[in-house]
Amino acid sequence: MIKIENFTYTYPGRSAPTIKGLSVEITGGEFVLLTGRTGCGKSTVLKGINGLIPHLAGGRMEGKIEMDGLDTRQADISTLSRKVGLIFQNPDDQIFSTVVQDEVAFGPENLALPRKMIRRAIDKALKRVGLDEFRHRGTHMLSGGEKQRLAIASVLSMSPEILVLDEPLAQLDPRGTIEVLKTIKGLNDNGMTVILVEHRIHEVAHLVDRIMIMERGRIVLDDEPRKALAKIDVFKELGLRVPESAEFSRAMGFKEVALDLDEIKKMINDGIKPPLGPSPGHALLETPEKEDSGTTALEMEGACFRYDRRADFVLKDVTLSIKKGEVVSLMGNNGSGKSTLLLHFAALLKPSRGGVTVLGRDTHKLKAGRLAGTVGVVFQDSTLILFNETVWQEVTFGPRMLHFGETELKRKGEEAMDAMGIAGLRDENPLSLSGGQRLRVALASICSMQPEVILLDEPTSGQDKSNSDSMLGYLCELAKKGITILFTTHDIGAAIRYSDRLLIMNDGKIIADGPPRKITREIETLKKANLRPPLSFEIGQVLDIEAFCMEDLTGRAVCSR
Amino acid sequence: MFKIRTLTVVEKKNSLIYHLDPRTKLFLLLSVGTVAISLDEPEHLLLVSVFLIPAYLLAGFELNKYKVIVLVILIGLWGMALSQAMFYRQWPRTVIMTIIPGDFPLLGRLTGGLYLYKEGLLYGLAQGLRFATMIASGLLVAWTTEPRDLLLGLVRLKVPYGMAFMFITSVRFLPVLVSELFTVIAVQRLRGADTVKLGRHTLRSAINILTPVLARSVKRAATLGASCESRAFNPNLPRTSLRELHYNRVDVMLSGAAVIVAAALVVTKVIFWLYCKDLLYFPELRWLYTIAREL
Repeated sequence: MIKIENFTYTYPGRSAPTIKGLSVEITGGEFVLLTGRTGCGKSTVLKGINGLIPHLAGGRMEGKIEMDGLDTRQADISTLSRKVGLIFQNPDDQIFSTVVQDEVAFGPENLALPRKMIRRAIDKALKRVGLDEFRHRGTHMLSGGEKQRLAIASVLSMSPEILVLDEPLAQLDPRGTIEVLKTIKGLNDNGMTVILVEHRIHEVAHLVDRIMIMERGRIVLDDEPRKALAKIDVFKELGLRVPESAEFSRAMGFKEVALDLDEIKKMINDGIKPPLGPSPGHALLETPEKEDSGTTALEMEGACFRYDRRADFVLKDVTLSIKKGEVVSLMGNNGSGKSTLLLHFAALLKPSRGGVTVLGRDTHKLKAGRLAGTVGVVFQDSTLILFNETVWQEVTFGPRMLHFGETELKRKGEEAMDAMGIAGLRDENPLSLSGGQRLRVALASICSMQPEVILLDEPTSGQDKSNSDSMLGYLCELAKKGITILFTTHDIGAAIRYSDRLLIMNDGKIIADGPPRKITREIETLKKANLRPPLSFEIGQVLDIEAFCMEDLTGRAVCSR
Repeated sequence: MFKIRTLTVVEKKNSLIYHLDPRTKLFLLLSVGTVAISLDEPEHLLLVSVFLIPAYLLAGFELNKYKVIVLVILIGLWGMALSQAMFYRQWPRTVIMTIIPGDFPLLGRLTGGLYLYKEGLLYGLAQGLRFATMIASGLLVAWTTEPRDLLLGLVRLKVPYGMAFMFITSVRFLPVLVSELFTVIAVQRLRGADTVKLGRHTLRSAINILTPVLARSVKRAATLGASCESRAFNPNLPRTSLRELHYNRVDVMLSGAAVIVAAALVVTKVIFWLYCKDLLYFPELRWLYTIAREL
């Protein structure tokens, strides 16, 4: 059992505590989802449980954290590491071995276990995460989901009783997410206590025993999933994503919240007739046809690309045309070629065969620098984009380089900052901001140049819902002014809600291209790319109506696009 | 730019170089380095470099690696030979080519003439070959040895575990760092920055490029550190190892030969230096002085 008593923690160099008098008890074998806005203190709690606080993080800790009576302040890290395993968001930042079994062996080696026991621990850990066939494989050859499972195996080899995971799904594609969640749930079913910090509440709510929401270093909601999700207002107030099953349950007036599609089906079969707006079979809410601007912004003609002459093609004969002012979303598993396609439109990569045209210019004859101010790229890891000392300098860097006049520079900078809601951060150092804020600064620094094309690589990943919504909403506004937007995402809901057109890539090819709602109906195509339609669509199928978001389903309003 | 990651991959081929114990490879590396530093004549250094060619052929790397090593060696040789040939300041020196005559209007008067000197060229070639030999032998070890084996090899050679771990980990993440560097440059070009132009903004550009790369590295290091520590990592405590190293007869012979050759060369050079400085002279070692003079 984990017992946290009046835990208060202040990071070194800060005056205000990040965690304030937190008290909670977690029973052995429980699966707890700990969620909340970015910066609310979730990760700090995990470090406290793991003993990194206070042993290695410095700072000031008050209160007590105990595991089965073992005080984390008294026990050394080595002892605690056998009790608690900690997994981070990005597996690439924690895996340092080049071979799978070496990574798993690291913990037992540190515990000075004899070689025979290390081998046994590796066997057991790899089996538990389903990687026993990968033992001698190079870590660079693993997919995102496999890497995260390897990270889990590398702590399981120390036989911890508790597993704490800090946003392990944030970097994963749909296939990786399914793999990792299955692994975690399997471990929990076998008696392991799991504490999972995650923004993607809708993906995990049906798996957990308990949901805790934190805000400003305190727990503001702590209940079993059904009861917690009944308090939708708390989630909405904090900008957290509410699972569609919970929203639907509330809209339908179900007595208790359904956690997944099966429960919804059961309730409907039990005779609860939903008072829905549209009549069954009604062809509902098509994406409004966008007026054809006539001008092609981005074009690909039979483009093939491979990173190495001996490697496989990453893009395979891709032909594509995107009109000016279109908002296009691009989905597919990691490695399907999404980011490679995106980089071609910034002239950062040139096709091995075929052609790519950006605003009428052949990229074969074009250096990326020549597109400065015309094409803007926002990478998934915004840290690599930011380098100025203040947010204001960052946002106005592009306009300054492009020799905008002082007045225009000021106007564009302020406009972009206001739109991204970062006006209050003007004098902050961009690198000291939270992930969500950094992404908004990066986007503002692109928008201030008034590019004609904006390319974004997974802008929704690791963001809470309010951040994602405001950012994508702003991009849609830009599109109305004729700016072409192309973004990759793993969130089909965001694609439906915010894009005019959805492209699905699989194995270097575009396997679907059309209005998001039309593509969503093509279940077999989605399956090929390991995608699932949104839950509202599946609920709609049960009710024999077409719905693509909760508003469609309840007949309240049309989705924004 | 995107092939950089392939350079981190240790290939597994069934040839002698892959089966050698990492300690043997480290001894060989150390010996080649010592020999390269001790020799002065370009032709002798060239001979040492040529010795590495069979090892490279035996390794059977993928083409990308050969391209990289050839490019690095050529750039190193060209840069050092040319710069030393142009700016050699010692005497005697023999002009082999005139780039700007001393009486050339303005530039000639400003520079006092720009020439290529034979002695400078030979000195530069020696430096370049030294550099090439060390880089080539270092990469040969890195590309044929799993980092974990190298780590274990260093530890078995009594290098403190913390230091060896730090070294191996930093080498492991070096290509990631280079890849991120290219990404940052590309992103900044798309924001209108001229990242290659030399001039008064060069330093500013370099800072702009390095800031995000360093920020990302610090973030990665913090995560990696926390991850290792939460897995009971403590460089000061005893630990065991899954891997076993096998130092067999071939290893003993190769290591011994390498160390003997390097040590013999160093001893010869020291004895010769003592003789040249009139500090120590043995008439019966005249044959050795003759050899040493040629090295």
